[in-house]
Parts: sequence; structure tokens; C-alpha cells
Amino acid sequence: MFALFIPLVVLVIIVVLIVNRQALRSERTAWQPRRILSYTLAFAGLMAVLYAAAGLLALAVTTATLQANLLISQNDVRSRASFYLAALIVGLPILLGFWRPAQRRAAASADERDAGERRLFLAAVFATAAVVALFALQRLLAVVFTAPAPASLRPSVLDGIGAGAQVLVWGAAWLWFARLGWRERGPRDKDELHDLAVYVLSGFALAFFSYGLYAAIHDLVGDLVSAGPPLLDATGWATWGTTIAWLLAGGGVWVAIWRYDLIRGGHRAWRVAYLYLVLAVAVPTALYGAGDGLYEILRRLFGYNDSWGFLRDALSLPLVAGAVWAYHWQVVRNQATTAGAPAQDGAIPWPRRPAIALMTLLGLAVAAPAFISLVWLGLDFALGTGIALSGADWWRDRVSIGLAGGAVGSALWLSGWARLQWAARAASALERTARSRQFLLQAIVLAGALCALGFTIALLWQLIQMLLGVAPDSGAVNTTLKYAATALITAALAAYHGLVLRRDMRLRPTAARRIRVVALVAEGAEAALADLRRDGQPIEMLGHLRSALATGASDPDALRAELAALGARDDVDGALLILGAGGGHLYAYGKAPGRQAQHVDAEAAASGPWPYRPEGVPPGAEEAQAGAPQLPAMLVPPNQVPSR
Amino acid sequence: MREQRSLLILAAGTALLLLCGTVVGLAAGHQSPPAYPRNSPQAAMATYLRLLQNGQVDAAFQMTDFGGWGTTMSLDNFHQQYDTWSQRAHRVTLVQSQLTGDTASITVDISTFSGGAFGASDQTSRQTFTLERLSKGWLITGPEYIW
Repeated sequence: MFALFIPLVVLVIIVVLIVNRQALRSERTAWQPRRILSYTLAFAGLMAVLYAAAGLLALAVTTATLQANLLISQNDVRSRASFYLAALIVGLPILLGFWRPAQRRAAASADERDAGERRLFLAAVFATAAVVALFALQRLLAVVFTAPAPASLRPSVLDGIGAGAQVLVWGAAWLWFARLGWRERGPRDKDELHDLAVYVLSGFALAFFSYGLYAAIHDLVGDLVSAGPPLLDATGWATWGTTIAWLLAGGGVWVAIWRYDLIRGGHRAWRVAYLYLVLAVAVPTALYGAGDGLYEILRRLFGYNDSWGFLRDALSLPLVAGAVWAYHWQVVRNQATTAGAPAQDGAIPWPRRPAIALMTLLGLAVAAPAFISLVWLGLDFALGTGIALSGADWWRDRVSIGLAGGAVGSALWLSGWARLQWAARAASALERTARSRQFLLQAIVLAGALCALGFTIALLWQLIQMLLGVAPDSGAVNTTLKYAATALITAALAAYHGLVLRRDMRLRPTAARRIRVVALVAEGAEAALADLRRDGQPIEMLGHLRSALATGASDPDALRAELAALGARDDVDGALLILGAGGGHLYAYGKAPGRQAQHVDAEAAASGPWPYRPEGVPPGAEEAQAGAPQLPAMLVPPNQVPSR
Repeated sequence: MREQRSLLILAAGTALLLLCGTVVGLAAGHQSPPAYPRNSPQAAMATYLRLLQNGQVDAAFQMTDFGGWGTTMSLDNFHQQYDTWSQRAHRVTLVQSQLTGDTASITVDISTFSGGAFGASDQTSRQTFTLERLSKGWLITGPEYIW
């Protein structure tokens, strides 16, 4: 039943993630209920058929090869066969009934081949079949590699047969549908749903491989530390066989699918999301492993006597997570060469800046409590608060964890922050106004300031109590020192980052004044209006123009430039846009009288329509011009005003 | 230039803090235990706690006499209660001690620390121990359980 669970989960994830995606909306054909129904039922039928086929194949092989085995009862065979046949009887007609018409439509119509529902179906089959086959491959390899182990420790041969059948059936289905998908849209073509399927499989395979690597290092170090039995005796195969299966299944599939993705290249949004997801798991794991290992090492250096068995976890976790982190970080760096590289030298290439900011924040979140702890312990030790009856154990462990957290956290924090600062120095305007840098600084300043505020109040409360005569015992003094250390560190962090933030804010461009623009739109000019609105300037539509547009209209690019320049003019409060399909006139106006002409650029005024009435032109003179729109005199472009 | 200077200051401050922490760790790890007069209840208390912290539960049990509390603590029960004591680091701070003839009471703050890499916890509770001077010296008469 597990084989059915994976497709369901994958399908739900894909549907939830995709259903509102821009990528689907941009497909050439709109989503249709009939297609949704067809492909959903075809998917369900296919899953039932594959499940039943794998089960029947395993049953046939088991019956043929292990007939003499008493563990296989005839009742069990009948029960299993009935269930698989039932699944086949229901699934096959549904699959054929919905998939074959869909295939016919696809053969006849490009719209069908490009339909989002079909791309989703193919992607879901790609991801589901591959992931089920991956799980089965791991089980099959585990059976093979644990074969030398004692019978009581190794998996059943029946497991191996079942897994082998699943690999064959689901693997064949994956290959068939993958080839079909590639015929319709090549691997290098833009297909975000296929991308998502690739990264789902890649994520599973990477998790398998990482777990195998972790288990291998863990067991190897454990054997070395404990000087236990030889690595690969009969019992050892039970452990190592499973580990090798994780490594081979995960590593093989991951290398293949990842190489496929790297070769097809391209600028893929899902790849960036996948890389961020991998980093979001790998970085904290590596940090945790390194911190834990350093803590254990330090407390032993400070006198704790215990075995070195902790090295199993202390080495395996940070090594594996660190390797995954390092490799994927390199891939993130390479993404900048695909597209979106910054124009400015020295700036952090896309898409690394948010990742660096997040890692800096994570490092500081680990380092700051450690710093607080160290400052508190230092003050406590220096002042000798209370008389301790106990030995040095508490101190040893407390200081060790403070040092470990401080060292690991500050390494990440300072390296990330240094990268951000260097970039800010090289490409100041771009980097200092970057959203991720702003978010990082604001988050630190806000959290630091709030903590400093709260702990300063608590510190003053303790101090005032003492001043008012409440006799402090050792506990109260200790608490006061904790508050003081927290207030000190958080205030220092907030102050430092606040100063940086203030400096960054000075470099922000001042926002242009928002001018109210109203428009009269000629017939057929709606698209031009929509184009102008895309630049970010809101344009309020007054109505549809009933008169002909005046000649000498500005083209769309000139209009766009005039609209953009409006905000910089302090004598302008609004503008009227008369828009035709191929261009239009923009008339700026002010609420205060008498300032319309003196601020106008002469060259621009002479070159075309301009939103003012030049000096010397009498009101109403333009009314004599044949074919001109019925506009107020002051709104007529200067080059259309007749001479007196 | 300003960025470089501020980064250097941050790095130097961090290094200094870690260095100070190392010094404190080394100094605290090698500090000699407080010296109390022999045969004083504080010295007995300190010895008792040190034995527990070192995992010498049998020896610590020899320093107790819980008979007066109605429930006699057996060695097995004592092991069950205190075998895991040494797995966590404790800081026991003397708050108050009172001596009345052959009995004494000592109030302490017990801070219990357990560390994971980022999941350290530090809990403090206040306990009052009672001691009685018998022929073997000062023995702990209560409480049987420490929270």
C-alpha cells in the first residue's frame, strides 16, 4: 500500500503548488474541466494498474521460484491475486478509457499537447513512478547486499522479489511516459511542471544518498572508536548491506537526474527553489552537527572524562550536511551565469543575496545567545556570586556550549555579513537598497531593540529593588547578571545594525511624487492604456473619447517618458491624457494659477504637443482649427495653434 | 573602508569574547573546591554533592540517614534516584546555613544544566537539606529526593 501512498502525496503536492501558478495561466490553452477529469482519472487508473501489475509479477515469480517454501500458503496467494486482479479490472478500463482519447486528441492538436492538465499528468507520472521505483530499488539492493548476513538479520527474499517487480514495472512506466513527454516537449524546453517533477525526484534521491553517507560515516567512526569487530563479518553485512543500498540507490539516481538537469541547463525558477530548500535543510543541520561536536570536544578539553563515542554523530552529521551545503552552494553560484546576472561589478550575483542574508541571520541567531551566555558567565565568574558547593562540572559544560555556539554561529554570521558588506562597498546603490539586505538589517534591529528594551527594564527592576533595600541573595545577583548580559549584547547588536541601516537608508532614491493622471481613451486604445499602466503609474480612465484625436500625438515611448517625468515637477498636480491607439497627448496641470509656461523645457515644447498654452496665444484660437478635438484652449498643443 | 573597519571590529570583538570564554572555562574548570572547616555541615554537604556528581552513588548513600523520615530509603531506591545525577552538570550554590546543636539546615540553589548544541537548558530550584551529627560525623537526613 505504500506504493500507492507516494503517488497520492506527490500528486497532492503538485496540484497544491501548481494550481495557481502563473506558468499554467500562461499556457496557450485555458484549463478545461473535461481535461482535468480525463487526466486525473487516467492518473488514478494508471496507478492502480501499475500497483496491480507489480504485485502480480511478484506473486508469479514468488510462486514459481519458492513453491516449496512453506511460508507461501495457497490462501495467501489466492488473497493477493484476487486483490491485484480487482485493482487491474477497475484500473485498466479507466486508464484506457481516458488515456487513449487524450492521446488521440494530442496527436491531432498542438493545444492538447500544450495543455496544462497534460503537462501536469506527465510530470506527476514522471515524479511518482520514479520515486516509487527508487524506494523499491533501495529495498532490492538491501536484500542483495545483506545476503551474506545471518538469516535472522537480513530481509526476506520475498521483499527482494516484490521490490524487483516494482523496479521493473514502475521503472518501465517511468521510462515510457518520460519518452512520451520528451517527444512533445524537449528536455531543454520551458516546462515548469516537468522541472518540478525532476526536482521532486532529485530531492528524494539526494535524501537517500545523504542518509547512506551519514550511516556509513557513523558506523565507520563507531567501529574505529570502539575498536569493535571487523567491519564486514557476517553480522556486519546486515548493517553495511543496508547502508550500501541507500548509497547506491540514492547516489545512482541522484547523479543521473542531477546530471540530466545540469546538462539541459536554462534559467529555471524551480531549480532555484529546490536549491534553497536543500540549503534550508543542509545549513542548519551542518551548523547543529558542528556545534554539537565542538561542544563535546570542548567539554572534554575542560576536563570531562567520557568515551569518544560522540565522534560518530559529531563527524557524520556535519560532514554530510556540510558536503551537501558546499556542493549546492556552488550550484547556486552557477545560476548567475544562466540569466539575471547583475549589471554592476562587485554586486552579489543572482540568486545568492537572499541566501547569504538568511545564513547571516541564522548565524547571528546562534551566536547571539552564546555571546550572552559567555558575558554572563564571565561576569558571574569575576564577581564570584554565591558560594558554590559543587565542583566545576556546571561551569565546564556551560562555558563549552557558549564557546561552541559562539564559534560556529559567528563563523557563519561574520562570513555572510562580510560578503554583504564587501558587495555594499563595491556596488553601493544596488546592494544597500536590496530588499534582502534591508530585511536582514530591519529584522536584527527590531529583534535586538525589543530584547534590549525588555531586559533593560528587568535589569533596572532588579537594581532598584537592591537600592531600595531588598537584600539580594546569590540567585538574585545571578539573575541580574543574566539580564545585564542580555541587554548589553542585544543593544550592541541593534545599535551596530541600526547605524548600518541608517546609512543604507540615506542612499535610497527619494520616491517620486505620485501625480494623478486621468485619461480619455479613443476607440481601440485600451491596449495602449494597459501598456502605460504597466509602468506603475496609475491612470484613471475618465471615459471614451467621442472626437477625433488631434494630430501630432506623441508616440507611446514619448508618452511613457513624459509620464515618468511628471513626478519630478513641483508645479504639476495632475495630468490629462488623451490617448489613441498609436499615441496621444499628455496635458499637465497645476492647481495654482499662472505658472504653467515658465517651467517648460523649450526644446521639448517646440518638438511636439505639450500640456500648456504658450505665451501670446489667445484663448480659443485653436477652435478655428478644423478637425481638432474639443479641448480647452490652454490644452491645445503649441504646434497646432494658428498664428495671428 | 568603513565597512572593513567595522568588520574588523566585529571579528576582533567576537574573538576576544571567545578567548575570554576559554579563559573562564579553563579557570573555572581548575578552580579548587571551596574549603570549609572539617566536620562542618557545609563540608559534609559539599562532599555529598561531589560524590553524587562523580557518580559515586554508594559512597554518597553512606553519608545519609533517612530513617527519621518514616520512609527508609534503601540503597536500591537511592541508586534509582541518583544514578542519572552525574549525567547532567549541577551547580549548587550555598544560600544559607543554620546550625542548632547537633542539627543543621543548609539551603542551596541547584542549577541543572543540560546541553545540546543549541538546545541548552538551565533550571534552578531551591532546596533545604537537613543534617544531623552522629558518631560518623554529619549525615544528610533529608530530603530523600532532590528536584
